[in-house]
Amino acid sequence: MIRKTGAALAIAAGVLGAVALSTSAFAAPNGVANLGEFVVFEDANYLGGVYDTTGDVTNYTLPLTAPPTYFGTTRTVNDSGSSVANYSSSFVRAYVNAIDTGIANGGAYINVYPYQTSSGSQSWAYYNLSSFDNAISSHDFQ
Amino acid sequence: MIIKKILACGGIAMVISTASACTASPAPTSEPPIGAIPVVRSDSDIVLPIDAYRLSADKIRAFTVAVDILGRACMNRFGLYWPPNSPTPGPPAAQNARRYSITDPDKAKIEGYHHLDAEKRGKDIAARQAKQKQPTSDAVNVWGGTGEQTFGGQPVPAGGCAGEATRQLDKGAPKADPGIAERLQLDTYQQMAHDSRVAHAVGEWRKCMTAAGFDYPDPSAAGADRRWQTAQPSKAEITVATADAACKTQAKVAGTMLAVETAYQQRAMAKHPTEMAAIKQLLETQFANATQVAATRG
Repeated sequence: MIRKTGAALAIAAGVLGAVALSTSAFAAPNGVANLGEFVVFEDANYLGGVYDTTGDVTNYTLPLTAPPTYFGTTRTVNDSGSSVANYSSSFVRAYVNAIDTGIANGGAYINVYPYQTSSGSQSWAYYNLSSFDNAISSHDFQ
Repeated sequence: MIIKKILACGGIAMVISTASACTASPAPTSEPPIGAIPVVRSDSDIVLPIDAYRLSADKIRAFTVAVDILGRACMNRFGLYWPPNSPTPGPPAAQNARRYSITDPDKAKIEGYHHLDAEKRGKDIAARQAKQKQPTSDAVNVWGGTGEQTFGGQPVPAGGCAGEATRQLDKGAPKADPGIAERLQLDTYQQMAHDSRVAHAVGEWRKCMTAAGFDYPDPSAAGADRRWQTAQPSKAEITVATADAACKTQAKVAGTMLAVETAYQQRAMAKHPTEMAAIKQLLETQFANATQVAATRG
């Protein structure tokens, strides 16, 4: 496991060191943040493995034989993300600490704002998930 | 996951968040008294005190539409294209959908543990994104205010066109941080999951499932059964999910969770009365402004 760099009392919103948005290609998961994607980073500060998706992913543990992994790696995304960014124009619900591993899009969630928008400490990007580090297990676009 | 931790760590007293090891423990908190256990038969029955201080589906749609209108108008001033946001297909999910896992016996009879609407929606969204025209790098800079601070001889607004749009929605609102409510509900969810009364209800659920002929240690194990990892729900999956939902009703699992989390939320909110009042006013102002933008400029 790659060493996690985030530690704080609260989810830290902001774009410090956020990865640049690529306009060169659309949508297919490629390890690069593209417009329209929700991206989970393995480490805080948008570092480490990159999991970029355009659609809802209702359960990061599925399919059991080939669950989502960070692009180009075999490291699974479920319960291992430490920062997130939303490059889409929709809100995204990122579910954490689901009480039931078998349930798609279950549990509590944080609202991730659309690309480049924010309100107070809520934002389109969280460079540090702090106490919810390694807890994201699914997401859906709103 | 949390329920799995209960088993993995050998007892409720050892249960902690999914992000930590079993050797740590959460900050000790007394369990607040709870009211009557409500009946929860569907996601719409799950209404929590903090809900009014978070973005509802209506507010999310209004905010998204208004930012699209205002932000793209700003981009037009710079002669730049920004892709329009189209509504996410299908009805919006309930604010607390599946917060307490599956609760609706009627839905369980149809989709088992699957989430067929969401699965279809995910594919629709991906297809929609693939068809969208990409903006230029200049447009990306001006949208977020991330590049040079002037473009085409005009000053780029602070935070770009997205920043300009959101400021217009904030007009007339007090300074507030809705992230406080967001964090509180995450905390109370964890507190609820660690509560002894919830653990008791889960124990009753297991007895009920055993009587129905199913030997699952907890709801998580029932939902995570490998046999359910199929494109469509099988008859066996529907049978188990239906029994699961019925047992949750009988054992008042979701109702207990709701009563317990309500109590934790009330306690948490009482510690932040000023901040919570400001958050509510901010969200209501944003919603009113967004509604007006859609009505007059949409």
